[in-house]
Amino acid sequence: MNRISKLLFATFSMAVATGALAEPITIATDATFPPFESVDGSGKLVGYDVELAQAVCDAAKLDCKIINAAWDGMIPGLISNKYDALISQLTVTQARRKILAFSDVYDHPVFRFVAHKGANLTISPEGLKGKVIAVQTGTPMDAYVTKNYTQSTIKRYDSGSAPYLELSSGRADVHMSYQAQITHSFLKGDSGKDFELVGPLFTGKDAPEFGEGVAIAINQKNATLLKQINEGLGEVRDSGKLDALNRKYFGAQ
Amino acid sequence: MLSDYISSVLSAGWITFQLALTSLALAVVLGLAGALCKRSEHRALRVLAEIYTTLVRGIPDLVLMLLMFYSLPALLNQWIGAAGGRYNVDPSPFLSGALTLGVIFGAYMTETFRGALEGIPQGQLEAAQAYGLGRVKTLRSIILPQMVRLALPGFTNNWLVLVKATALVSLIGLQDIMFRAKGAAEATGKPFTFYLLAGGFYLLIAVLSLTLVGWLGRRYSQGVRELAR
Repeated sequence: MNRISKLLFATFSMAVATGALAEPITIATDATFPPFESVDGSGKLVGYDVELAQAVCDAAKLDCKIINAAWDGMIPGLISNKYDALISQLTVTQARRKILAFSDVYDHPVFRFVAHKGANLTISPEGLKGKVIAVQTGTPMDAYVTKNYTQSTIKRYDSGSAPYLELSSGRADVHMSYQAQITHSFLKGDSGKDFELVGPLFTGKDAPEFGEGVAIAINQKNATLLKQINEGLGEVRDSGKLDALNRKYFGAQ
Repeated sequence: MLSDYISSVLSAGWITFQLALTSLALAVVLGLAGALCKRSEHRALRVLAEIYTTLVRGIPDLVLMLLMFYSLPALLNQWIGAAGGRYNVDPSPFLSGALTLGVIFGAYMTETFRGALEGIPQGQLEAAQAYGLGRVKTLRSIILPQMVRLALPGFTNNWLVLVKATALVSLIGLQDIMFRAKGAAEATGKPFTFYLLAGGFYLLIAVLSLTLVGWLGRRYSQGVRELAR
């Protein structure tokens, strides 16, 4: 009992302390989407977005704390000021602009389909008629296939890894995701050796569902931070760090 | 590489366990208070306890958790700001989670304890009175020990559900075992390995709890078993 009351007291005083002091900028990421954001064996955050966020903070001379958060709690957390910014391959869309402020776009991701080698599928609404398409729920890919591939069966999954299990077990014919994620999380591994990227490359220019690109989200009331992050981002871009990061993670594109 | 992830996930089991125990302590206190209120002579206390259990048991756990973590602090800060204060309420995920689970399971415990109280024969109270025991002494020496035996099965159920309900707190960012398991599953592309690991952890807590409760149950029904023989 004594231990527990101590514990309660400790957590409470911690909460009070963080509330009272001037604190670092808290940037939240949903670290379940390699190679953009994930955890390594020691629990440390790694990936493209994590490195970029750190570079932006360094350039803008901000004291940043990048933390791992759950996707479902991220946007409510930003609105209620639990987090100061979000970086998690957030696609800029009109709907999101209504509730969030976005930094300048830092990347235009490429989206692809992936299927079994030799499946000979034509990537078009007619070609995939009656086929099963797997996507991660709530992503731009989900929005795109839901709108355009109306004659296919669309299976939606909560996590980024589940669609690959479905592909491997033959319960889905194709999966659509970020090209870099498909390569990193699936094709490079053992279970992905019989699969390949198929069909055209999609970007924000091909369909509105793919958005204007990805950016850092900030609370709409925090204009100062938005300006600082944009300045930092500009510096990272001008100094060639962004290009170096793109080469490191995506190779030559 | 994989073993690093495994130890990272398992070490978060300690957070889950701490959260469950803290919530349980709060739930037991609220449950006892609630049960005594429900059996009180004062109408106001009975109505209050009834509102508490109905409200809390009627609202989904997740909704309560989100309200407690996002909305309640925002509301409090608004009030403090309006009153001219500068204090900023910002509870940690652990604190919000423990409070929410404590309040939720306090309502279930209220019903469990109330049932147990009603199961104690009226004659026991009359005998205590006849011996000239005071109210506090009666509660401590006559009612509580007998209540333990009657409340134990329901209490155990509540505890096992509570342990698993702690996984909800990962949604507000607490790095418990489920949160880490998801992170490791996505990083390695081996979901079964890590979800089974987390499942095994919950199962282990359940088995240990049942063993402990079995022992407690035998201990607290000693008097009864001897009578029945």
